[in-house]
Amino acid sequence: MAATRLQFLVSASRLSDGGVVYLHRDRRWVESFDEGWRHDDAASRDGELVFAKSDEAHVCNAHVVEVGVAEDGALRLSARERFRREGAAKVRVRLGYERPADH
Amino acid sequence: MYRYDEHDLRLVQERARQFRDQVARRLSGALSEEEFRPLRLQNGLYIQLHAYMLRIAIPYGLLSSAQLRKLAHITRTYDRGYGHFTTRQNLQLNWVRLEDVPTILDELASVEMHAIQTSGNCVRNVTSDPFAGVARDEDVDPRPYCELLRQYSTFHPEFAYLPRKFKIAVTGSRHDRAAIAVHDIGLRAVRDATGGIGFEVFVGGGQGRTPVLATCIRTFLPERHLLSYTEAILRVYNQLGRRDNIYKARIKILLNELGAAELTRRVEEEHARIADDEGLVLTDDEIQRVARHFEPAVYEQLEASPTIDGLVLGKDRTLARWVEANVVGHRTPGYAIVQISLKSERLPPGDATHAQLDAVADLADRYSFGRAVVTHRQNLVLTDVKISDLAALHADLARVELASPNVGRVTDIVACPGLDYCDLANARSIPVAQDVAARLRSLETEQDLGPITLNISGCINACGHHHVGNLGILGIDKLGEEFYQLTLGGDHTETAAIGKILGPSFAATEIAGAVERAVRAYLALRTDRSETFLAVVRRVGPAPFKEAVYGAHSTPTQRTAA
Ligand code: SF4
Repeated sequence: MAATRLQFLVSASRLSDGGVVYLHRDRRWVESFDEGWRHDDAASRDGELVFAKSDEAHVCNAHVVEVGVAEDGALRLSARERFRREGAAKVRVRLGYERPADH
Repeated sequence: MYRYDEHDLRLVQERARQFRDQVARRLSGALSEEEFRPLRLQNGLYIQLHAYMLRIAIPYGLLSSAQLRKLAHITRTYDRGYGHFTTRQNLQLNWVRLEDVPTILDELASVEMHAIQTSGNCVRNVTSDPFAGVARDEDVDPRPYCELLRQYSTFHPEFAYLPRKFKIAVTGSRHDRAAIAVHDIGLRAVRDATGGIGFEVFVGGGQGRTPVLATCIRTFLPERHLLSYTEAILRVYNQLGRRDNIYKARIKILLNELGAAELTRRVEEEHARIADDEGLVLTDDEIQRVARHFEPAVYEQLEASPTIDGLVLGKDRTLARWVEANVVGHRTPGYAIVQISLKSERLPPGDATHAQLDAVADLADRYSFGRAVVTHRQNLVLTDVKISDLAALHADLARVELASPNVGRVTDIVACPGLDYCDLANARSIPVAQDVAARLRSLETEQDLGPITLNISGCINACGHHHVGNLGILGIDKLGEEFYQLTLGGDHTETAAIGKILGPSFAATEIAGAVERAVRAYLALRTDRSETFLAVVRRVGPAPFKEAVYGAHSTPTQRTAA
């Protein structure tokens, strides 16, 4: 899959539990990658990153996620961001002994 | 085991109280993340891929049943019902909430535990031989010295900000079960001709991106100088270790840059200045005070029968296989050392559920004087089990999925958390460990593979100790895809060696097959069952393994992914 263009999301770790969150268009933090605001240009990305880094009451480790978008719409992420996107590690849940998150 | 005195207790309680205040200030906005980060790291609290991770110190791996129960309670109450034992004999919790951590630290303090110095550029948890105190090949019990080093290095003001983290391991046996050759300082307690105790001092071992075996800089350091010599090494390192480049900051790089002779000269020079400092000289009284905490258990005089060999030859083949792999001779007649494998079919390597932690606590009370030990191969040990109790213990362990008969075998895989959890990872470790184990389980049973160590790390930081596995797997990132490099011939024991990369890396779907081909090559090459995997590698070299692993199975993926 050849990525034809690059987009950017702002992501961070939630302060309360370290959970993965993405910055929404209306500057809310959301858990869903798909609801995160994907920026096409560096200027809007950088502006949101400045906001994210200052929002220390809610998050830490704010950073930019690069997303390669292919012509057919398929997305390409680094392995790290792929795993963050997929949500909490599933391996132990799959094995049946990890208690589901209650927080 | 060592019991905290008033001073120790106050220390951990105060630390928990301080952290409660620091967390409150972070949550209220009074502390920025930049200000808070070093404070949380000093309490072993990291942010990983999906959550906070708290690393709990288990000094030299030793746990009482009360501590095990407390860990079970903590995993059940504040986490998701399990913990992960690491190669530094610590325990990691993967899902803690920030506001719960001070309470967890209070709970830990109530059983004389903490998370201090499990992170940061300081002296980390001192590790040791899991068979300490009961091993047949032991010359000196290393635990009192580990404890003295723990006390010495905890909150040492001069060494709170070293150039990089600093790891010490101590053994007192001829067979090295503590991997001292790959530590910043490795100590082997020995006796001289008069019976006096001293240490062989090794410096500059380590893994990571530059794996190095430690160099012996003193063949006999009298025990009274243990702390002063450690201080001399730390001082030289603190002054000269490189702070300009994180990849060159460990003492192994300093040793390489100065040369062993010059590093030794500087350490000896510093030591000559401080050797007789009152606060650093270990008096007999002080050694005895600490050693009294580790006095041998009160063993019964037992009949000569049953024996471990008798059980191995017995009719119960399930029990026999478990005894053969997991049980080791004890120095006291009638007793045995039992290794509990945390490498079952279902659980990732090193994991234990809260129910298992509770069960091990109960079994430790019932069979082994209420104590268990964590190993750097991510297993647990009950050090003092009557041979006559082995069958009952085995049945009890089987009820909680802890009776895998594979300690030291190829499915006893050491694996770091990898990309399922770790923020620094390039690739997953846990699924690879599971694929390899699933593939090799029947081969192991049918072919009597004997001892093979297999270690997996999810990145070059090498927390899974892949450099010293007989077979090592390193996860690497190739343009966003997980690939795995195979190394051969590593060894963490007294014949330590760094494994050599066998060839191009493999895709995630191919690595288990590659390992199986290497193991089958061993089966074809061994002269008989007594020749171990490592012995064959040393006899024949990598070429036949390379041919077996890459020969007919070489694929375009492998070739392009070098
Ligand atoms: S080896 Fe790498 S991936 Fe594994 S735990 Fe260490 S830092 Fe994380």
